[in-house]
Amino acid sequence: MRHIGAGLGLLTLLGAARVAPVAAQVCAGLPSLRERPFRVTASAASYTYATALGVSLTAGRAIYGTLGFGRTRDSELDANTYPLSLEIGADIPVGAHGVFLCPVVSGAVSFGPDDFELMQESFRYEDWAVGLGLAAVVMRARRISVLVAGSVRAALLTGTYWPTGYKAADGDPGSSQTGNYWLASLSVGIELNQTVTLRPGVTVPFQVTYPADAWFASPFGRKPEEISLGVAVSIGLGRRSRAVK
Amino acid sequence: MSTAARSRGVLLRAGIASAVLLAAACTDLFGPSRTVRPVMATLAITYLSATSGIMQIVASPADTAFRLGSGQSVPIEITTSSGDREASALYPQYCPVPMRGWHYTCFEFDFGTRSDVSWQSVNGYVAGIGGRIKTWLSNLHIGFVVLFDLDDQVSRARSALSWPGVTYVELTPPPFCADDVGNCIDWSTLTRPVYVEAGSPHPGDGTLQVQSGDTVTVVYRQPGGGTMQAQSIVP
Repeated sequence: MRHIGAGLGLLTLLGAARVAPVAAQVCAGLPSLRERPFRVTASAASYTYATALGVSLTAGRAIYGTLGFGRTRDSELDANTYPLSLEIGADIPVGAHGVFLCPVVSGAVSFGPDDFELMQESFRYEDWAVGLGLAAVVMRARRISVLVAGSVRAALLTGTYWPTGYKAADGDPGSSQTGNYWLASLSVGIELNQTVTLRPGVTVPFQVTYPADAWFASPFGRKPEEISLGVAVSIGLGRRSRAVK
Repeated sequence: MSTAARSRGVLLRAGIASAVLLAAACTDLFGPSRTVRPVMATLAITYLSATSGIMQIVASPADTAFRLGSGQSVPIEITTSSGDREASALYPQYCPVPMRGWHYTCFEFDFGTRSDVSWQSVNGYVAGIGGRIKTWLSNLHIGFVVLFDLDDQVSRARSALSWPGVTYVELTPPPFCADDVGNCIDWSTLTRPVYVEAGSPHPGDGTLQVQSGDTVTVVYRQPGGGTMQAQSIVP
Protein backbone atom coordinates (compact mmCIF):
# COMPACT_ATOMS: atom_id res chain seq x y z
CA MET A 1 0.00 0.00 0.00
CA ARG A 2 2.82 2.36 0.88
CA HIS A 3 4.60 1.60 -2.37
CA ILE A 4 1.44 2.25 -4.34
CA GLY A 5 1.00 5.56 -2.52
CA ALA A 6 4.57 6.58 -3.24
CA GLY A 7 4.22 5.55 -6.87
CA LEU A 8 1.04 7.58 -7.24
CA GLY A 9 2.81 10.55 -5.69
CA LEU A 10 5.70 10.24 -8.11
CA LEU A 11 3.41 9.95 -11.13
CA THR A 12 1.35 12.89 -10.00
CA LEU A 13 4.41 15.01 -9.48
CA LEU A 14 5.87 14.09 -12.84
CA GLY A 15 2.56 14.96 -14.42
CA ALA A 16 2.63 18.31 -12.74
CA ALA A 17 6.11 19.20 -13.97
CA ARG A 18 6.30 22.25 -16.18
CA VAL A 19 8.94 24.11 -18.11
CA ALA A 20 10.60 27.01 -16.35
CA PRO A 21 13.99 28.68 -16.28
CA VAL A 22 15.91 27.99 -13.09
CA ALA A 23 19.41 27.46 -11.78
CA ALA A 24 21.09 25.34 -9.13
CA GLN A 25 19.16 23.90 -6.17
CA VAL A 26 16.07 22.76 -8.05
CA CYS A 27 17.50 19.32 -7.58
CA ALA A 28 17.36 19.86 -3.84
CA GLY A 29 13.76 20.98 -4.08
CA LEU A 30 14.86 24.53 -3.36
CA PRO A 31 14.93 27.71 -5.44
CA SER A 32 17.90 28.95 -7.40
CA LEU A 33 20.98 30.29 -5.69
CA ARG A 34 21.39 32.87 -8.43
CA GLU A 35 19.02 35.23 -6.68
CA ARG A 36 20.42 34.69 -3.21
CA PRO A 37 23.93 33.25 -2.94
CA PHE A 38 23.44 31.51 0.41
CA ARG A 39 20.69 29.43 1.88
CA VAL A 40 20.12 28.37 5.46
CA THR A 41 17.83 25.41 5.97
CA ALA A 42 16.31 23.87 9.08
CA SER A 43 14.85 20.41 8.69
CA ALA A 44 12.99 17.77 10.65
CA ALA A 45 12.11 14.20 9.80
CA SER A 46 10.25 11.43 11.55
CA TYR A 47 11.54 7.88 11.21
CA THR A 48 10.07 4.68 12.60
CA TYR A 49 12.45 4.64 15.56
CA ALA A 50 13.89 8.13 15.64
CA THR A 51 13.43 11.79 14.91
CA ALA A 52 15.98 13.86 13.06
CA LEU A 53 16.63 17.58 13.28
CA GLY A 54 19.17 19.44 11.24
CA VAL A 55 20.48 22.77 10.01
CA SER A 56 22.52 23.37 6.90
CA LEU A 57 24.23 26.11 4.92
CA THR A 58 24.27 25.96 1.14
CA ALA A 59 26.36 27.99 -1.27
CA GLY A 60 27.10 27.81 -4.97
CA ARG A 61 25.61 28.33 -8.40
CA ALA A 62 25.39 25.67 -11.06
CA ILE A 63 27.24 23.45 -8.63
CA TYR A 64 26.30 23.77 -5.00
CA GLY A 65 27.66 22.53 -1.72
CA THR A 66 25.71 22.02 1.48
CA LEU A 67 27.28 21.68 4.90
CA GLY A 68 24.91 20.27 7.47
CA PHE A 69 24.78 19.35 11.12
CA GLY A 70 22.02 17.64 13.02
CA ARG A 71 20.81 15.31 15.68
CA THR A 72 19.00 12.01 15.25
CA ARG A 73 17.41 10.63 18.40
CA ASP A 74 16.04 7.18 19.15
CA SER A 75 14.10 7.96 22.30
CA GLU A 76 13.33 4.32 23.14
CA LEU A 77 17.04 3.60 23.35
CA ASP A 78 17.87 7.04 24.78
CA ALA A 79 20.45 7.34 22.00
CA ASN A 80 21.55 10.35 19.98
CA THR A 81 23.83 10.58 17.01
CA TYR A 82 25.08 13.86 15.56
CA PRO A 83 25.71 13.80 11.81
CA LEU A 84 28.07 16.27 10.14
CA SER A 85 27.51 16.13 6.41
CA LEU A 86 28.74 17.61 3.14
CA GLU A 87 26.79 17.29 -0.07
CA ILE A 88 27.87 18.47 -3.50
CA GLY A 89 25.42 18.49 -6.36
CA ALA A 90 24.57 20.11 -9.64
CA ASP A 91 21.52 20.96 -11.69
CA ILE A 92 22.10 19.96 -15.29
CA PRO A 93 19.42 21.12 -17.75
CA VAL A 94 18.04 18.36 -19.92
CA GLY A 95 16.81 19.80 -23.21
CA ALA A 96 14.72 22.94 -23.17
CA HIS A 97 11.85 21.63 -21.11
CA GLY A 98 12.92 22.82 -17.69
CA VAL A 99 13.79 19.37 -16.49
CA PHE A 100 17.05 18.89 -14.67
CA LEU A 101 19.32 15.96 -14.14
CA CYS A 102 20.70 15.91 -10.64
CA PRO A 103 23.97 14.16 -9.87
CA VAL A 104 24.96 14.33 -6.23
CA VAL A 105 27.67 12.99 -3.96
CA SER A 106 27.55 13.20 -0.21
CA GLY A 107 29.45 12.17 2.83
CA ALA A 108 28.49 12.24 6.48
CA VAL A 109 30.17 11.35 9.72
CA SER A 110 27.82 10.81 12.64
CA PHE A 111 29.14 10.97 16.18
CA GLY A 112 27.38 8.94 18.84
CA PRO A 113 25.51 7.46 20.48
CA ASP A 114 27.80 7.35 23.49
CA ASP A 115 27.35 4.87 26.32
CA PHE A 116 24.83 3.18 24.09
CA GLU A 117 22.36 1.06 26.09
CA LEU A 118 24.53 1.65 29.19
CA MET A 119 27.13 -0.64 27.62
CA GLN A 120 29.89 2.00 27.80
CA GLU A 121 30.29 1.81 24.06
CA SER A 122 30.46 4.73 21.68
CA PHE A 123 29.50 4.65 18.03
CA ARG A 124 30.50 6.49 14.90
CA TYR A 125 28.95 6.17 11.46
CA GLU A 126 30.44 7.07 8.09
CA ASP A 127 27.96 7.32 5.30
CA TRP A 128 28.99 7.89 1.68
CA ALA A 129 26.50 8.18 -1.12
CA VAL A 130 26.29 8.88 -4.82
CA GLY A 131 23.02 9.53 -6.53
CA LEU A 132 21.08 10.75 -9.48
CA GLY A 133 17.77 12.51 -9.66
CA LEU A 134 15.33 14.50 -11.71
CA ALA A 135 13.83 17.85 -10.84
CA ALA A 136 11.57 20.48 -12.35
CA VAL A 137 9.79 23.70 -11.57
CA VAL A 138 6.08 23.17 -11.49
CA MET A 139 5.09 26.79 -11.27
CA ARG A 140 6.77 30.14 -11.14
CA ALA A 141 4.68 33.21 -10.37
CA ARG A 142 5.51 36.55 -8.84
CA ARG A 143 5.06 35.50 -5.23
CA ILE A 144 5.19 31.76 -5.32
CA SER A 145 7.23 29.04 -6.99
CA VAL A 146 6.69 25.32 -6.73
CA LEU A 147 9.48 22.83 -7.44
CA VAL A 148 9.61 19.08 -7.35
CA ALA A 149 12.66 16.86 -7.06
CA GLY A 150 13.23 13.14 -6.80
CA SER A 151 16.40 11.13 -6.54
CA VAL A 152 17.85 7.74 -5.79
CA ARG A 153 21.16 7.30 -4.01
CA ALA A 154 23.40 4.34 -3.42
CA ALA A 155 24.99 4.55 0.00
CA LEU A 156 27.81 2.79 1.79
CA LEU A 157 27.63 2.95 5.56
CA THR A 158 30.31 1.94 8.03
CA GLY A 159 29.44 1.67 11.70
CA THR A 160 32.17 1.51 14.30
CA TYR A 161 31.97 1.13 18.05
CA TRP A 162 34.57 1.14 20.76
CA PRO A 163 34.70 1.48 24.56
CA THR A 164 33.49 4.89 25.71
CA GLY A 165 36.44 7.03 26.75
CA TYR A 166 38.86 5.04 24.64
CA LYS A 167 42.00 6.88 23.58
CA ALA A 168 43.71 6.14 20.28
CA ALA A 169 47.02 5.61 22.07
CA ASP A 170 45.51 2.59 23.82
CA GLY A 171 45.42 0.63 20.58
CA ASP A 172 42.48 -0.13 18.34
CA PRO A 173 39.74 -2.01 20.18
CA GLY A 174 37.03 -0.80 17.82
CA SER A 175 34.82 -3.02 15.75
CA SER A 176 33.64 -1.91 12.32
CA GLN A 177 31.13 -3.31 9.87
CA THR A 178 30.02 -1.98 6.53
CA GLY A 179 26.61 -2.22 4.97
CA ASN A 180 24.93 -0.62 2.02
CA TYR A 181 21.53 0.65 1.11
CA TRP A 182 19.61 2.72 -1.38
CA LEU A 183 17.75 5.87 -0.52
CA ALA A 184 14.91 7.25 -2.62
CA SER A 185 13.62 10.75 -1.99
CA LEU A 186 10.85 12.92 -3.30
CA SER A 187 10.18 16.50 -2.29
CA VAL A 188 8.08 19.51 -3.15
CA GLY A 189 9.54 22.98 -2.61
CA ILE A 190 7.14 25.87 -2.17
CA GLU A 191 8.96 29.21 -2.31
CA LEU A 192 7.26 32.31 -1.02
CA ASN A 193 8.32 35.80 -2.02
CA GLN A 194 11.59 34.41 -3.38
CA THR A 195 12.89 34.19 0.18
CA VAL A 196 11.34 31.48 2.34
CA THR A 197 10.85 27.96 1.08
CA LEU A 198 8.81 25.21 2.67
CA ARG A 199 9.85 21.78 1.44
CA PRO A 200 7.87 18.70 2.54
CA GLY A 201 9.18 15.42 1.27
CA VAL A 202 9.54 11.72 1.81
CA THR A 203 12.52 9.40 1.88
CA VAL A 204 12.64 5.61 1.65
CA PRO A 205 15.67 3.47 2.47
CA PHE A 206 15.54 0.19 0.60
CA GLN A 207 17.72 -2.80 -0.21
CA VAL A 208 19.30 -2.33 3.20
CA THR A 209 21.95 -5.02 3.56
CA TYR A 210 24.56 -5.55 6.24
CA PRO A 211 26.51 -8.46 7.73
CA ALA A 212 24.63 -10.77 10.10
CA ASP A 213 24.09 -9.23 13.55
CA ALA A 214 25.86 -6.02 12.43
CA TRP A 215 22.74 -3.93 12.97
CA PHE A 216 24.98 -0.89 13.53
CA ALA A 217 25.93 -0.99 9.84
CA SER A 218 22.42 0.15 8.88
CA PRO A 219 20.90 3.66 8.92
CA PHE A 220 20.45 4.79 12.54
CA GLY A 221 16.84 4.89 13.71
CA ARG A 222 15.45 3.84 10.36
CA LYS A 223 13.46 0.82 9.32
CA PRO A 224 14.13 -0.67 5.89
CA GLU A 225 11.42 0.21 3.38
CA GLU A 226 9.86 2.80 5.70
CA ILE A 227 8.40 5.87 4.05
CA SER A 228 9.24 8.73 6.34
CA LEU A 229 8.02 12.27 6.17
CA GLY A 230 10.34 15.23 6.49
CA VAL A 231 9.92 18.94 6.23
CA ALA A 232 12.43 21.71 5.73
CA VAL A 233 12.22 25.47 5.97
CA SER A 234 14.80 27.37 4.00
CA ILE A 235 15.73 31.03 3.88
CA GLY A 236 17.75 32.64 1.11
CA LEU A 237 20.44 35.03 2.30
CA GLY A 238 22.78 37.53 0.73
CA ARG A 239 22.39 40.11 -1.96
CA ARG A 240 19.92 39.63 -4.77
CA SER A 241 21.53 39.38 -8.18
CA ARG A 242 19.78 40.00 -11.47
CA ALA A 243 16.84 37.68 -11.98
CA VAL A 244 17.18 34.89 -14.49
CA LYS A 245 15.16 35.37 -17.61
CA MET B 1 -5.95 29.95 -21.45
CA SER B 2 -4.80 32.96 -19.40
CA THR B 3 -1.59 32.93 -17.41
CA ALA B 4 -3.58 33.19 -14.18
CA ALA B 5 -5.79 30.22 -15.08
CA ARG B 6 -2.77 28.20 -16.09
CA SER B 7 -1.07 29.06 -12.79
CA ARG B 8 -4.17 28.01 -10.85
CA GLY B 9 -4.26 24.71 -12.69
CA VAL B 10 -0.62 23.99 -12.05
CA LEU B 11 -0.99 25.03 -8.41
CA LEU B 12 -3.95 22.66 -8.07
CA ARG B 13 -1.91 19.79 -9.49
CA ALA B 14 0.96 20.63 -7.15
CA GLY B 15 -1.50 20.66 -4.24
CA ILE B 16 -2.81 17.24 -5.21
CA ALA B 17 0.75 15.98 -5.54
CA SER B 18 1.57 17.24 -2.05
CA ALA B 19 -1.55 15.62 -0.63
CA VAL B 20 -0.66 12.29 -2.24
CA LEU B 21 2.87 12.60 -0.89
CA LEU B 22 1.59 13.27 2.60
CA ALA B 23 -0.90 10.39 2.41
CA ALA B 24 1.87 8.04 1.29
CA ALA B 25 4.07 9.20 4.14
CA CYS B 26 1.36 8.88 6.73
CA THR B 27 0.35 5.29 6.05
CA ASP B 28 2.15 4.40 9.28
CA LEU B 29 -0.63 6.24 11.13
CA PHE B 30 -3.18 3.73 9.91
CA GLY B 31 -1.31 0.52 10.42
CA PRO B 32 -0.16 -1.92 11.40
CA SER B 33 -2.68 -2.56 14.17
CA ARG B 34 -1.33 -1.84 17.64
CA THR B 35 -3.17 -4.81 19.13
CA VAL B 36 -2.56 -8.34 17.86
CA ARG B 37 -3.76 -11.77 18.97
CA PRO B 38 -1.46 -14.65 18.09
CA VAL B 39 -2.45 -18.22 18.89
CA MET B 40 -0.93 -18.74 22.32
CA ALA B 41 0.69 -22.03 23.36
CA THR B 42 1.45 -21.22 27.01
CA LEU B 43 0.44 -18.61 29.54
CA ALA B 44 1.83 -18.49 33.08
CA ILE B 45 2.16 -16.31 36.14
CA THR B 46 5.85 -16.71 36.86
CA TYR B 47 6.15 -14.41 39.87
CA LEU B 48 3.63 -13.05 42.34
CA SER B 49 4.56 -11.22 45.49
CA ALA B 50 2.46 -8.71 47.36
CA THR B 51 5.54 -7.94 49.44
CA SER B 52 7.66 -6.81 46.53
CA GLY B 53 4.55 -5.57 44.73
CA ILE B 54 5.19 -7.42 41.49
CA MET B 55 3.38 -10.02 39.41
CA GLN B 56 4.99 -11.24 36.21
CA ILE B 57 3.17 -12.90 33.34
CA VAL B 58 4.93 -14.82 30.58
CA ALA B 59 3.34 -16.24 27.44
CA SER B 60 4.60 -18.12 24.41
CA PRO B 61 2.87 -17.94 21.03
CA ALA B 62 2.45 -21.25 19.20
CA ASP B 63 4.42 -19.85 16.29
CA THR B 64 7.98 -19.31 17.52
CA ALA B 65 8.58 -17.09 14.51
CA PHE B 66 6.01 -14.65 15.88
CA ARG B 67 7.39 -11.16 16.54
CA LEU B 68 5.54 -8.18 17.91
CA GLY B 69 6.22 -5.02 15.98
CA SER B 70 7.28 -1.78 17.59
CA GLY B 71 4.34 -0.35 19.54
CA GLN B 72 2.26 -3.50 19.26
CA SER B 73 0.90 -5.48 22.19
CA VAL B 74 -1.25 -8.51 23.02
CA PRO B 75 -4.28 -7.83 25.24
CA ILE B 76 -4.97 -9.83 28.42
CA GLU B 77 -7.35 -9.53 31.34
CA ILE B 78 -6.50 -10.03 34.99
CA THR B 79 -8.98 -10.77 37.77
CA THR B 80 -8.72 -11.61 41.44
CA SER B 81 -11.09 -13.68 43.55
CA SER B 82 -11.54 -10.67 45.81
CA GLY B 83 -13.01 -8.65 42.95
CA ASP B 84 -10.28 -6.68 41.21
CA ARG B 85 -10.24 -6.62 37.40
CA GLU B 86 -7.59 -5.02 35.20
CA ALA B 87 -7.03 -4.89 31.47
CA SER B 88 -3.39 -5.26 30.55
CA ALA B 89 -1.21 -6.23 27.61
CA LEU B 90 1.79 -8.38 26.85
CA TYR B 91 4.95 -7.07 25.22
CA PRO B 92 8.13 -8.74 23.99
CA GLN B 93 10.35 -10.19 26.67
CA TYR B 94 13.45 -8.93 24.88
CA CYS B 95 14.13 -5.46 23.54
CA PRO B 96 14.66 -3.58 21.31
CA VAL B 97 12.15 -4.62 18.70
CA PRO B 98 13.31 -5.21 16.05
CA MET B 99 17.04 -5.58 16.60
CA ARG B 100 18.74 -2.22 16.32
CA GLY B 101 20.93 -2.53 19.37
CA TRP B 102 22.24 -5.12 21.77
CA HIS B 103 19.38 -7.15 23.17
CA TYR B 104 18.28 -6.67 26.75
CA THR B 105 15.37 -7.80 28.89
CA CYS B 106 12.37 -5.54 28.51
CA PHE B 107 11.03 -3.97 31.73
CA GLU B 108 14.19 -4.76 33.72
CA PHE B 109 17.57 -3.40 34.68
CA ASP B 110 20.06 -4.06 37.43
CA PHE B 111 22.57 -2.01 39.31
CA GLY B 112 25.48 -2.44 41.69
CA THR B 113 26.24 -0.38 44.76
CA ARG B 114 28.99 0.25 47.25
CA SER B 115 29.01 -2.19 50.15
CA ASP B 116 27.58 0.39 52.56
CA VAL B 117 24.39 0.86 50.53
CA SER B 118 21.22 -0.96 51.59
CA TRP B 119 18.17 -1.65 49.48
CA GLN B 120 16.14 0.60 51.75
CA SER B 121 18.32 3.57 50.85
CA VAL B 122 17.67 3.17 47.11
CA ASN B 123 14.08 1.97 47.32
CA GLY B 124 12.73 5.51 47.14
CA TYR B 125 14.75 6.23 44.01
CA VAL B 126 13.45 3.06 42.37
CA ALA B 127 9.88 4.06 43.20
CA GLY B 128 10.62 7.53 41.86
CA ILE B 129 11.16 6.15 38.34
CA GLY B 130 8.08 3.95 38.57
CA GLY B 131 9.87 0.72 39.39
CA ARG B 132 10.19 -1.76 42.19
CA ILE B 133 13.07 -3.85 43.43
CA LYS B 134 12.40 -7.46 42.57
CA THR B 135 15.61 -8.95 43.96
CA TRP B 136 18.33 -7.57 46.19
CA LEU B 137 21.53 -9.60 46.48
CA SER B 138 22.86 -8.20 49.74
CA ASN B 139 26.14 -10.12 49.59
CA LEU B 140 26.92 -8.83 46.10
CA HIS B 141 25.25 -5.42 46.51
CA ILE B 142 23.27 -5.86 43.33
CA GLY B 143 19.64 -4.89 42.85
CA PHE B 144 17.28 -6.07 40.11
CA VAL B 145 14.56 -3.59 39.20
CA VAL B 146 11.28 -4.16 37.42
CA LEU B 147 9.57 -1.35 35.52
CA PHE B 148 5.90 -1.57 34.64
CA ASP B 149 5.93 0.03 31.23
CA LEU B 150 8.40 0.32 28.40
CA ASP B 151 8.36 4.10 28.11
CA ASP B 152 11.87 5.48 28.38
CA GLN B 153 13.17 2.26 29.94
CA VAL B 154 16.74 3.04 28.93
CA SER B 155 16.73 6.63 30.12
CA ARG B 156 15.08 5.65 33.40
CA ALA B 157 17.72 3.00 33.93
CA ARG B 158 20.41 5.53 33.07
CA SER B 159 19.07 7.86 35.75
CA ALA B 160 20.09 5.24 38.33
CA LEU B 161 23.70 6.22 37.71
CA SER B 162 22.98 9.35 39.74
CA TRP B 163 21.64 7.49 42.79
CA PRO B 164 23.89 7.68 45.86
CA GLY B 165 26.27 4.75 46.10
CA VAL B 166 25.42 3.23 42.72
CA THR B 167 28.56 2.02 40.96
CA TYR B 168 27.10 0.70 37.70
CA VAL B 169 23.82 0.16 35.90
CA GLU B 170 23.07 -2.28 33.13
CA LEU B 171 20.07 -3.29 31.10
CA THR B 172 19.58 -6.87 32.21
CA PRO B 173 20.91 -9.06 29.41
CA PRO B 174 19.00 -12.05 28.03
CA PRO B 175 20.06 -15.49 29.25
CA PHE B 176 23.54 -16.42 28.16
CA CYS B 177 23.66 -18.82 25.23
CA ALA B 178 26.70 -21.07 25.17
CA ASP B 179 28.27 -21.38 21.75
CA ASP B 180 27.34 -25.05 21.46
CA VAL B 181 23.71 -24.38 22.37
CA GLY B 182 23.10 -21.94 19.56
CA ASN B 183 19.98 -19.81 19.69
CA CYS B 184 18.67 -20.74 23.13
CA ILE B 185 16.44 -17.71 23.44
CA ASP B 186 12.87 -17.78 22.23
CA TRP B 187 12.44 -14.29 20.79
CA SER B 188 8.70 -14.78 20.43
CA THR B 189 8.19 -14.88 24.22
CA LEU B 190 5.91 -12.21 25.64
CA THR B 191 5.80 -10.79 29.13
CA ARG B 192 4.26 -8.17 31.36
CA PRO B 193 5.00 -7.11 34.91
CA VAL B 194 1.97 -5.82 36.84
CA TYR B 195 1.83 -3.59 39.89
CA VAL B 196 0.49 -5.47 42.90
CA GLU B 197 -0.46 -4.10 46.28
CA ALA B 198 -2.27 -5.43 49.32
CA GLY B 199 -5.70 -3.96 49.75
CA SER B 200 -9.31 -3.92 48.70
CA PRO B 201 -10.04 -3.99 44.97
CA HIS B 202 -10.23 -0.92 42.74
CA PRO B 203 -11.06 -2.32 39.28
CA GLY B 204 -9.51 -0.49 36.35
CA ASP B 205 -6.96 1.56 38.27
CA GLY B 206 -3.95 -0.20 36.70
CA THR B 207 -2.84 -1.74 39.99
CA LEU B 208 -3.82 -5.20 41.09
CA GLN B 209 -5.09 -5.10 44.67
CA VAL B 210 -4.81 -8.49 46.31
CA GLN B 211 -5.29 -10.15 49.67
CA SER B 212 -3.45 -13.14 51.03
CA GLY B 213 -5.06 -16.31 49.72
CA ASP B 214 -6.60 -14.58 46.68
CA THR B 215 -6.64 -16.46 43.41
CA VAL B 216 -5.28 -14.34 40.58
CA THR B 217 -6.42 -15.31 37.07
CA VAL B 218 -4.92 -14.10 33.80
CA VAL B 219 -7.10 -14.66 30.75
CA TYR B 220 -6.08 -14.54 27.10
CA ARG B 221 -8.69 -14.72 24.36
CA GLN B 222 -7.42 -16.84 21.49
CA PRO B 223 -7.99 -15.47 17.99
CA GLY B 224 -10.20 -18.40 16.92
CA GLY B 225 -12.41 -18.22 20.02
CA GLY B 226 -11.85 -19.87 23.35
CA THR B 227 -9.64 -18.69 26.13
CA MET B 228 -6.40 -19.62 27.79
CA GLN B 229 -5.85 -18.83 31.43
CA ALA B 230 -3.24 -19.01 34.15
CA GLN B 231 -3.84 -18.89 37.88
CA SER B 232 -1.80 -18.34 41.00
CA ILE B 233 -2.61 -17.95 44.69
CA VAL B 234 -1.30 -14.95 46.57
CA PRO B 235 1.02 -16.19 49.34
